[in-house]
Amino acid sequence: MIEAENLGKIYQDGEIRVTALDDISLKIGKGEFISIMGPSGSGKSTLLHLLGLLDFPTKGSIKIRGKDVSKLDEKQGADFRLKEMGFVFQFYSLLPELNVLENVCLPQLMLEGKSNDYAAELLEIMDLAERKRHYPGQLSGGEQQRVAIARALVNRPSILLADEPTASLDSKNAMNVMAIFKRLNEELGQTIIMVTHEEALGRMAQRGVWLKDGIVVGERRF
Amino acid sequence: MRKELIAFLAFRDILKDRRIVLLVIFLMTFSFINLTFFPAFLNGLSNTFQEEVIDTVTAHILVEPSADSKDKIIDHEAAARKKIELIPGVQGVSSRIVMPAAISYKGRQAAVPLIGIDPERERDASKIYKRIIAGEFLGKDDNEFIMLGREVAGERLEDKIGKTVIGKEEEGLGGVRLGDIVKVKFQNGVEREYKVKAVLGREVFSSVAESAFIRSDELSSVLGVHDKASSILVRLEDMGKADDVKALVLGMGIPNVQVKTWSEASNFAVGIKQTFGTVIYITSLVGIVVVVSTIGIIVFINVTRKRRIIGVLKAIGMHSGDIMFLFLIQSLFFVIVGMILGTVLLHVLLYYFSQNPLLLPLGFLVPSIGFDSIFWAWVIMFVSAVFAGYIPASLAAREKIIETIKVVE
Ligand SMILES: Nc1ncnc2c1ncn2[C@@H]1O[C@H](COP(=O)(O)OP(=O)(O)O)[C@@H](O)[C@H]1O
Ligand SMILES: [Mg+2]
Repeated sequence: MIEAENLGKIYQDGEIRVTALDDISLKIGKGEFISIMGPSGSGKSTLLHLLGLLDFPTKGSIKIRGKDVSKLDEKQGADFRLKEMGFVFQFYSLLPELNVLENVCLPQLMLEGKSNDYAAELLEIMDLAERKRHYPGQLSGGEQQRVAIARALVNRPSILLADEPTASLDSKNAMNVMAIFKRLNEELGQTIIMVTHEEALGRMAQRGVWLKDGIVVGERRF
Repeated sequence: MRKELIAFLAFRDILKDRRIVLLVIFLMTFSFINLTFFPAFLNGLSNTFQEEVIDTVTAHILVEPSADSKDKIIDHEAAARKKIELIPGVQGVSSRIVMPAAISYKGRQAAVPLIGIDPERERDASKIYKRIIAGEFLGKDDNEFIMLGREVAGERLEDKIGKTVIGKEEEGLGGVRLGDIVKVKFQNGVEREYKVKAVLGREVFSSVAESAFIRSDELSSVLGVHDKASSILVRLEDMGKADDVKALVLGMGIPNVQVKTWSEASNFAVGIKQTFGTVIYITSLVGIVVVVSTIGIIVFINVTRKRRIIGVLKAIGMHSGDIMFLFLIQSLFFVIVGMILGTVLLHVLLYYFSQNPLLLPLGFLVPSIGFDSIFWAWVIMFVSAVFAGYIPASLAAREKIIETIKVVE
């Protein structure tokens, strides 16, 4: 599904060069739920951004379903993300002026110009069917994050990418989100890449990859 | 991505904070009024000047003795006048004789231009008969009558029009009433008495108010001249034809005269128009700055507040161009609503002032603006909005996604 080879990312801020990723090769299979762990600053987010085509690597290549996506330009990358990828961020990322259902439908409207029942179905799965007409400001953090997950899934992406999706939540809501990820993975076969610095949550995936100073320092199936 | 969806997002965003929307629209409306009403006001003011000069001094075409003619007088005025009357489109032709004279009344004396007119012809060629404050215009056999300008008579303006404008009680002849007898001492030493038939010159900026009028045949007989004129006023049905008619008059070969159109003859009014044009230009620049900065600041604040959401939208798959378009729609919405409201408000104001002209010391003022100026204000607003929205929107749209979604730990 995803093949990253010798990925490297160097941030250059004037004189200062920061090697965020040194040399990372990683294969992720279809239907896999993988967690990327490691201490703060180890390069987890950078790796996720590269895999999610939100940023360009300074070296190496990424193939997704056999297609070399590291060569896509900005627009092609955006179109690819819209179709093939779903993102869940740490912070609340919903549009405050749209209601829950509209937020979930948005990527569908962007892709196809119309929406179907799948958004409502996903809200059902997220246990938010009753909150369809509510606005993000009326929801708790955990509920907002579940709406964001529904939005990430509405175009049936090949890959769901989540960067610290539970970091802003209390432990009960965090567990809830993890349970949803697990179910999506097990029941729908959703490929998921999740970044977390919390081992306990990371262990709920099928496989864990540990980073430190921009390189892979450990890997394990759970 | 579909433009309808972007427009939908843009409007949802606008409608979220209605107070800001109202404020911005108010500012846009105000800016439009600033771009149009102030010029309309000045335009009205210069029209007031211009019309006053045309109506009382120059008419549309003014025939005067040429600068090098020896007596500074037009000979054979009747023949010249009759020829001009035959030109199609000429509404009225009137000859005047102007002489300085001293008028005295109850021990007071005023030096004035004494203007000899033919009252019947004057009604077709000028509007001084409309400048009467009290009394009646000179008639056919009114050789023993005189009309005095308001400042000559010393009329208090407020007495007649109900509003205090200016007016020193003790000016001119100190308050001559209708029917009073004044004594006129002509340049050649002749003295005659005349009965006051009218007081004229409502506007302060009016040469009429500073002059005195008697019949031209009376003045000619006192001066012992015949068939002479100091100027010939020609009024046209369409003042736009002034240049054409001027050429025809010149082609008649009337000896020792110069022919001027109203714009050539009234340098002063034209100068005022140009001065106002400069003032309008400067205030327009200020107006543009207001529009550009308002829209610019609004969009800038908006994109700054939405920095992260913009990043999220781009992460999901929205193109930078679509983000730009979203903010462009918002700026255009503000400016277009402002333009529409501003245009409506402008016409309400113009209508109001056409019904209730402002009475300034200079005269009645009706603000007026041509469609071309309104059109330019639209263009200016529109272009300003696009320009002002473009800069912050493009900064936002071009920012790297990872910069905007970065979580500061
Ligand atoms: N935009 C950037 N410019 C410069 N350095 C950056 C940037 N983003 C991340 N880094 C650096 O790259 C390294 C890895 O960052 P990151 O991938 O965010 O780590 P993690 O998500 O594991 O905490 C850190 O040293 C960080 O300071
Ligand atoms: Mg991180």
